[in-house]
Amino acid sequence: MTSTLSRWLRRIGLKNETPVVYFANYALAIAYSLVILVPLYYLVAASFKSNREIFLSPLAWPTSFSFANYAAAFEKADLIKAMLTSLVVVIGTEIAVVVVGFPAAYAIARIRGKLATAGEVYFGIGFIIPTFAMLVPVFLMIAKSGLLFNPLALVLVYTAQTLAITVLLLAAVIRTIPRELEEAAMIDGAGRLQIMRRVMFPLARSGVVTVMILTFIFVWNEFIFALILLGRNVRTVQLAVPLLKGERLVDFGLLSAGVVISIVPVFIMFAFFQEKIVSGLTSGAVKG
Amino acid sequence: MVLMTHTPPSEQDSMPKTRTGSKSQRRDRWAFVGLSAPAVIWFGLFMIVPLIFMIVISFFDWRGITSQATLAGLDNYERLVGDQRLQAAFRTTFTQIIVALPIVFSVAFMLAFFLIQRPPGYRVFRVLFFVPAMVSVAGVSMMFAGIFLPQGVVNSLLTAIGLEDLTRVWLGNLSTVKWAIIAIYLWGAIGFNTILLFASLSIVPKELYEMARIDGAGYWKRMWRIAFPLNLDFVGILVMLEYLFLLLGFAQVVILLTDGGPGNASVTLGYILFEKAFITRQLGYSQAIGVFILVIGMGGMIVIRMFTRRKYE
Repeated sequence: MTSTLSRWLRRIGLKNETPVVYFANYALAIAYSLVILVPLYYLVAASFKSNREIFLSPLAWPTSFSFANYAAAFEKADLIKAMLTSLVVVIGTEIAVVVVGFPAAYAIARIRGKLATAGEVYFGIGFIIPTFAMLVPVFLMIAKSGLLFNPLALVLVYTAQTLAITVLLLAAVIRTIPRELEEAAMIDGAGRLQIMRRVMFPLARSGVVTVMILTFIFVWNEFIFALILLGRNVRTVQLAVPLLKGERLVDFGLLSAGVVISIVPVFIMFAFFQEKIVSGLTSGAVKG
Repeated sequence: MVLMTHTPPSEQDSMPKTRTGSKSQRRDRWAFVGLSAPAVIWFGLFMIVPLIFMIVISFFDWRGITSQATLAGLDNYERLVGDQRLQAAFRTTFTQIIVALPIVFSVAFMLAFFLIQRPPGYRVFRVLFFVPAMVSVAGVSMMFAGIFLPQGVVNSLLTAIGLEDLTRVWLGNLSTVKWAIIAIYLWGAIGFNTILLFASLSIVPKELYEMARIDGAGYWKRMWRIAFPLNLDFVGILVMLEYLFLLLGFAQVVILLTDGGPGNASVTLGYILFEKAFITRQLGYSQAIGVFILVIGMGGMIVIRMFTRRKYE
């Protein structure tokens, strides 16, 4: 054993114990890492290979990096248009969720008495009820309002679906801001709206950024509501990519290129904001 | 998913209740109600109202939006009883739940407890375990479509280690398809829950483990006898969320990959809800199935809660 290892074993208190279980866990962590990585590696490798190469030796490193699959994927699934559609829906939802969600979070964080709890319970429902159960009623509501096949419908639905996490997360952030700051502004004669915009919003900026990142990932990745609310003419990325599979999957090189393209924006986000994403998704969770 | 707990509104009534104070407080209250109204209405419109519609529609016979709905009383609910495909879906979903959830949570808990020791490279594990959660359900499904191909990774690995007899058309085989799709679930769910459990375990004071260690409790014992009971409440919440996901949201994988086939082999409860509504166009019946699934969902959550509520002595 190297000295670092033994020093570290002492640190975690394994010096005088049988670390068998511990090393079994290490093996488990490495095994699961491989389980995660091998499919992703296969996906990326396949996207540079011809179908014949993929089937000959699926896990081989591509011999020549060909972007033919990427070019074909962009063309066959009309991916540029699909990505623009997704982007429009993302931007619309981001704006709506912050404009509508921030005031509600501010109110819940600052209102006195039982109303705050009532508000938290109300938005908390959003975590318990699976949205998948509401496909039909939502489809009917959108159809009746004439918004079927219109990306605006997705903005309406996604905003409602992300409001729960937005309001509760922002309310938790706003609670950490001292009240004295508002009281000072109030003495200067500022109203609630002004205080919210001028004082609270800048102070809660990091929470807003977290919410916007989570919203981006959710909206970009969402599949089922886009499937039922959009038609053949307008597609989001998540609807366009599976088109490359066709009835029977015959060209995995093509499909894998499409998947890689659809993943890249989210992975870029993850690379930059990994800590924010993980803490945003876990914050509060641990307090329970 | 975040689960906020209700922190009590702090500094309640910190302002003295003079006459002018209470008046301005009342005005303030209305300001707050006004500020939250748009979010409350928007959220309610697409998250609460649909649930009510769902129950209402379940009492109608309705063959799609272009046709007329007629009141059907309890007909849709009576049909639930004799529906063979629904029974198949019920069996598949519950087999998947009973197999997948113990795997996810025993492995995730072990990994989370392991990461808490800050082993060399734990930062890499932390990032890596979260990566599958970043891939969309469509992306994951398409990726695994390639992995389960007759000439895909699984079969080629089996052939490489001399187990050629075990190669299958995983998604087209009656006996393997429901396990193939649950493998897709496991791929991401283990890591995601590991990271959430890691956050929850980080809160347990280190001294507790230290004391236990001095008392002679080994690694395994510290994991399951100390860390696990202390975090049981939180484990329970995660189990509930994964349970609900397997009941409903997970059906997206089935929609993307198998349409429930071959035969009834991969029909899940969530899939049948989708199928009756958008493929066979029986809106009323689909909503009766939806209500049925939600009832099972709530029932299951109560059971999970019973087993995971921390008993304070």
